[in-house]
Amino acid sequence: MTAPLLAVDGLVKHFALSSENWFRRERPTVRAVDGVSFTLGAGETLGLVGESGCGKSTIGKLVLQLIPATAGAVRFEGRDLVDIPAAELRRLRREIQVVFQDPQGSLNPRMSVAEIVLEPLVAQGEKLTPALREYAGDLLERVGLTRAHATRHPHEFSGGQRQRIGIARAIAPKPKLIICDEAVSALDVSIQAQVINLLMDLQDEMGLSYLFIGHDLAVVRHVADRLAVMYLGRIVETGPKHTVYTAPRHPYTQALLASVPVSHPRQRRARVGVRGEIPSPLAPPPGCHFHPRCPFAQDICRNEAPPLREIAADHRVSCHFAETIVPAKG
Amino acid sequence: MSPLLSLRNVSVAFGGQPVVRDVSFDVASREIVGLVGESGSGKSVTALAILGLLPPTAEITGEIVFEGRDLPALGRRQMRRLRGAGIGMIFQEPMSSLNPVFTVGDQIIEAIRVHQRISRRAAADRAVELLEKVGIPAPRRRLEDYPHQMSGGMRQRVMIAIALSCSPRLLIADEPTTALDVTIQAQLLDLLAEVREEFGTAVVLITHNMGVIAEIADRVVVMYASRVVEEAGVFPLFDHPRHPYTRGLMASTPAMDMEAPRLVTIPGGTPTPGNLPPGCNFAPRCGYAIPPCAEGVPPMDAFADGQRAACIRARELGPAAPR
Repeated sequence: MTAPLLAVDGLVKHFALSSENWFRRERPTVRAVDGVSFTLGAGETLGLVGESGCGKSTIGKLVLQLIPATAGAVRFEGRDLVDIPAAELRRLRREIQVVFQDPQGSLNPRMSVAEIVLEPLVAQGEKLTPALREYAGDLLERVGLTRAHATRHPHEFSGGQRQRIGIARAIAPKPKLIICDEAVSALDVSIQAQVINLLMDLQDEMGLSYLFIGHDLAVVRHVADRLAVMYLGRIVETGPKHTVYTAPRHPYTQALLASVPVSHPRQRRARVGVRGEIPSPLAPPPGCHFHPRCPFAQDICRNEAPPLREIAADHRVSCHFAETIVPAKG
Repeated sequence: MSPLLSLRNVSVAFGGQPVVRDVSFDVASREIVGLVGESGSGKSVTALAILGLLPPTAEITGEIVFEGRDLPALGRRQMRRLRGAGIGMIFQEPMSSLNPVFTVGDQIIEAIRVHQRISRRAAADRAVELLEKVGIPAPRRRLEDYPHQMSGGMRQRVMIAIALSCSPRLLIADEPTTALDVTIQAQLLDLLAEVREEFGTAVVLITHNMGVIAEIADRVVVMYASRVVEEAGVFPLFDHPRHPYTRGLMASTPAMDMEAPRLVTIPGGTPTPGNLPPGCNFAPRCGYAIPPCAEGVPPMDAFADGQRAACIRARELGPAAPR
């Protein structure tokens, strides 16, 4: 792998909540993202997985610079987006686009499809010329819609078609990176498969990189090259897809994979899932965040946060006992 | 033995527009039957029809027989008594099924006392017992919690406790794990399986997720665009689906044990109830369709092991190879 397209380094995002107690000055903070680092190469897909509240969507927003980071760096082609001049950031926004989960909520109902699809270009100062409208038609055809759809409005489309419009908008400025934030999660299975195939075709044609944020591990397994598993604001395991899925070393990754429903009733088994629930991100447990639910927890886990360390080439795990824990079958 | 629940040619229409057509299936005592389909397939309306919870404007025809009684013929009072005592229910979003201004204890105790003449104190003891059964730690303390103080998984456990409070013979679960994280989903599926073992409750599990079906269903009813297209035991269904829609649905579901570069897709989208094609609803998206498919609604064809499929070519196509 050459120099990464995207390098996230020590990223931190704290959200201050309104204080529950009027007489106390300090406000409780949620450490939504708590020191996250990863890289993403050109043409590569990194699957970012984890359960609700683990911080995966916040990372997407931080990479897009939709919200300011509390600390850390987001380097895109070597430049740190966190502190570059606004004009330069604006120019770079062409290169980084996003597809959201809910196409209903992310498409302006008053705009025609052509206006929606061209919005990233118009926002960059381009004029809505006939040539540009022609380009909108090309984009719609590229995502499996027709040129005739350009003059229609979002409400005239099904959920799957709306997601295609969202994808056409994302590829309009010919970006290098697309953040897919639960991009196929709201779709019915038969439609989801169509959209996944479309995303993979576009990646091949345009050399796109995807930061694919999702909670469906089977879907992420299908699209990702590498994987990062998050728990309560931190990455607990990251590595090539095959390694993480077939030989997971973090007890949380193992539990997460064991919780995925089987694909045939023949595979039913007594589950080695995980007990308890995710603790509140307002008061994460000390030491390793996972220790209260971990079957292997020792004293050190309660006191010391394990660093994310490399245990094999490109395979990093944040567990004090990563070497001794037997990989559960993925 | 006669089935616990039996649907015969059930159709539901709103303003003359059918959304469920000609649905027939049985649920035996202690059986978990999965009712699977995508958005708009009619699976949730079928569930609400069983529960008698459709609005009065719904036009229901056909028979829904539970323990020998035809449910649509029951009066509102009788149906109310049956719901809870005979048939329990849980829905996708427990937050909207629980009352935010009462504690969960109040709500479980109320559910118990609506159907049983026991003191509040005895009902509270029973509530603690139920919360413990559904895996809520420190249940006596949790009685004092309001729904918003609990996580989504805990709230769904409370809903299951309420549903079990009167020992129903049948539980209707409509997408009970869809809003939950995968580790919590796994815990709740285990809980539903335990409930069946311990209380002998039959379950109609409505879901869009084939994985959930593969985990705990005994038998499966597949719906597409308002009709049942296939019905089978869970093993025959996953071993050799007969209906082209079922085959497509399974092939387009990404699986953990699959490394195919491309997913098989079903072309096009689901038709809306007002725009159903003539003949077989699935024909326009079906790779096996031939002209006669558009001519009439295909009848259910019966195969070995009680597998049934509504496809005129099912026999000729033979069983699909297992994945």
